[in-house]
Order: sequence, then structure tokens, then C-alpha cells
Amino acid sequence: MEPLLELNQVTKTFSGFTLNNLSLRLEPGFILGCIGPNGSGKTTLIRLIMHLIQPDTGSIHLFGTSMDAQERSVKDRIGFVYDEPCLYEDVLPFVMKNMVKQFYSRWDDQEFFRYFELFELPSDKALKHFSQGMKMKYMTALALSHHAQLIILDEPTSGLDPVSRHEILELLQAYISDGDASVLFSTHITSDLERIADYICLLDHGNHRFTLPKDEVLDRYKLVIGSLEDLAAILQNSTAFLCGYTKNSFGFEGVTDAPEQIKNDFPHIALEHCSLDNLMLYLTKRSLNI
Amino acid sequence: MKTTLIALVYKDMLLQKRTVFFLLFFMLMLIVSMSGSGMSSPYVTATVGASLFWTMSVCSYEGFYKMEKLFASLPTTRLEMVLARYLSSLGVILVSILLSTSVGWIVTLLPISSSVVPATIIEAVTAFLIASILVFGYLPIYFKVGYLRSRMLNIAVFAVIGLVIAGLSLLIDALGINLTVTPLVWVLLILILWTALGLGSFLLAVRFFHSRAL
Repeated sequence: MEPLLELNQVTKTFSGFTLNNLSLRLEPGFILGCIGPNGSGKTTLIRLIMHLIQPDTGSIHLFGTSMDAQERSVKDRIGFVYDEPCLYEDVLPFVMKNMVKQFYSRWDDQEFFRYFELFELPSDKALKHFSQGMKMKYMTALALSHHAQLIILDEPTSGLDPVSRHEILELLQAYISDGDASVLFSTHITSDLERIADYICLLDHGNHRFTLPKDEVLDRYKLVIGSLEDLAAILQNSTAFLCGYTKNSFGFEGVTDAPEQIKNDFPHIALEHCSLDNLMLYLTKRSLNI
Repeated sequence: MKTTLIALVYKDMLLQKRTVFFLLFFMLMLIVSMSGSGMSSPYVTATVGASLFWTMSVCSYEGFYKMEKLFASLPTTRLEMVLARYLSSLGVILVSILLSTSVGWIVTLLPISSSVVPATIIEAVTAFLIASILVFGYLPIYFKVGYLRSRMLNIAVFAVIGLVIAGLSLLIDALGINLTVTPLVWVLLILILWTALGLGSFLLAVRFFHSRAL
């Protein structure tokens, strides 16, 4: 199956930061969640895909072609929501909508009004009177109203209350349910991804740690909890067992990518489900001693 | 390309519409006060001031709301974004000429000021040339560094343009060059120079904007 999005060994360097040699692909019908701490390269990745910045090396293909070759037709098939609202805020929402719709060949007013009503957005208020969450919902409505095949969202749920977050996540899941469209979603709120993502991409200070199916990530990595003596024993045996850990006067907690070996060698040590939050914490910070 | 270009120009016009009444008032005050105090070229000043204000206010509005990021993500190209800005800026200059001459004409009909006289064709053409040359100087800077940083540079750019024009005129005087040519040659010279400046400015703006990170 032809991927909707394919990055091959993409590198982009700024002063003090490099997104290093990133390769990933996203096929139709899936949600790829991108996680990583601040400054890990999530927004840079999205800006590269959206052609807002150019890669130093490597190639980016969307729908089997490059943005340089078919910029307008490629963007016609992308819906986007950025981490900050990019809107003329002095105008009414429908004025802004009319401005945006002229650019898309498959704009669907009915879809837009459906989302607009679903999000309970006011039509008689200028956009500057919208709350941050309302602006993000409005941007989401714009992104989903032109039958895009690829939806790219940069921290779309960060300003939303839990109910609105849930609504948007359900909408995204419904949007890809026919198998033609895909979603690339960057967020700090990893519980959102645990709920809807099919693949997880972890970035760490510009380095691509992995892109794996979510279930594989949750199977492969486990949370290890034990005493300080256990930690010493594990570290003496092999540091490779622990991807990262924290310790305090009572014991330690860390993440392992070798749960079977830990279980065999240290049967008394507790292994628990590792959330994406913990995974991000321990994989992007080697050790933290408090 | 045509549809997106029209959409981009329309968007600029929509934003410029917001300041029409303010600019009408500005033009009225300027034309009446300059004519009353015997200063020359009130229409040129009013048109150039309004055109620059309009062009720069759209740029500032876009910069403030990060609209370049939005439009660069919509199905359009950066070349179209630059072309649309040049077209809308030239449109704005024409509208400014129309407004300032209309304001002047209305003032001559009303008992506001007896010293105001209607604009001449020469004044309108001069206003168009000066305003467009200043816009040609400003837009590449805007597309290179964005509105916020261009605010600091634009005064320098305008000063350089003014100095170059004044310097050329001084040089011509000092060298005693006789520029007595037929009006047709003048028109052709001005047309060629204007086209070259406009094209150079546009190509530079495209090049700058293409490599700018948004």
C-alpha cells in the first residue's frame, strides 16, 4: 500500500538543535502519535511536512509525490491544526471560513457546519472573543471540512477540557474509519495517544528513538519497581536492562525493554504496565536521582 | 492558480477595507492643511502616505496573527502569495489615488477651503510612481524578515530610496546633463525603469520568501 506520508533520512539543523536523520512512513487508515519532551523536534517535524521549512538533507513524500513537485494538489489533501491559532481574529468565524474555503477544491460547507454545531461554537462572535479551546475547535473544523486524506495536528488538545478532548479524539477516530485517511498527531498529553494512536513515534532532543505500533510499545516496555538493592543488582548485571530510572531513599522506578530477562533474573521485582507518560519520562532522561 | 490568486488578493482587500474611513479622514486633513499652508503636492503626499499605511497595515496584521503560516499551509504556493501581495499593493495605490483625488474634488465643491484645487494627471502619475517605488523597496524586506523586523528596516529603506533619487537629481545637475528629451522618451524611460524596479523587487521577494522559515 502506498504510504500517505514518507520521510527518508530527513535532517534539519537550526542553531542549537538538529532533527537528526528521521525516517518514518504512515499508511492510510492509521493514527500516528508523535511524543517527546519540549524541544524534541515534534513541531519541527510538522513544519517540515507542511513545507514551512526545508530539510537540509533527506526527502519528504506525501501521497507518493513531493511538495516541490505538486505543492498545491498535495496541500489540497492535507488538513492541519497548529499549536497556535493562525486566524484573522477580528472577523466572524464564517468570514474566516469563506476566506479559507476558496483554496480547497473539495470544500464541504455541510461538513463544516456539522462540526461547527457539534463543537457548539458561536457564529455571532468575532474569533478574538473565542477562548483558546474554541479556537482550536474552530481550526479542527476547518481542517476536517475539505475531505483531506492526511490530518496533521500539532498539540491540538493542549488547550481543551477533558470533554472537548474526548470529542476531538472520537472525531479523529471516526474520520479515519473508512481506511482512506490518516492522522499525524503530536501531543504532550500521552493519554490521548494511548486512547487512539495506532503507532507511536518518540523523539528525543531531535533524535528519532522509535516508531512502533502502540501495542508493541506497550508490550515491549514495562515499568520496573524495586528496592535500591534490586537496582544495584540490575545495574551490576547489565545496564542495558534499564532504559532509564529514578531512585530515592525508598527504592527505584524505571523502564525496561527487556521485561523477560528481568522476570527471569529477578523474579521478585515487580513489573507493571508502562504508560506512554512514563515511557517518555524514562527514555528521554537517562537517570534522575532525587 | 487564478482562483487562489484571486482569493489571496481578495483577502488583502478585505483587510484593507477596515481602514478606509480612517484614511479618508487622513487624506482630507492632509490635503486641506497642505493646500492651506501653500505646500506643494498635497495629493502626492496623501496618496503615498495612504498607500504605504495600507500596505504596511496588512503586513502587520498578518504578522500579528501569524497568517503567513496559515496561507503557506493552504493549497497555494509562496510565489502566488508574493504575487498577490504585489498586485494588492498596486491596487491599493490606484485606490488611494482615486480616493485622494475624489476627496480633493469634493472639497473644492464645499465651502471648506478655498485654497484646495483639484488634482492634476501629473500629480496622480507622480503619486503612483513614488508610492510604487517605495512599495517595491519595502516588500522584499518584508518577505525576507517578516513584519516585526521589517519595521526597523523600512525607515532605512525609505531613506535610501529618497537619498538615491535626490542623489541622482544632484548628480544630473552637477554634471550639467541636458535632459531635454521628448515627452514620449520620458514616458518610455520611466516605464522601463519602473518595470525593471518592479520586476527586480518581485524576483527578490520571491527568492527571499521561498527560503524563509515560517
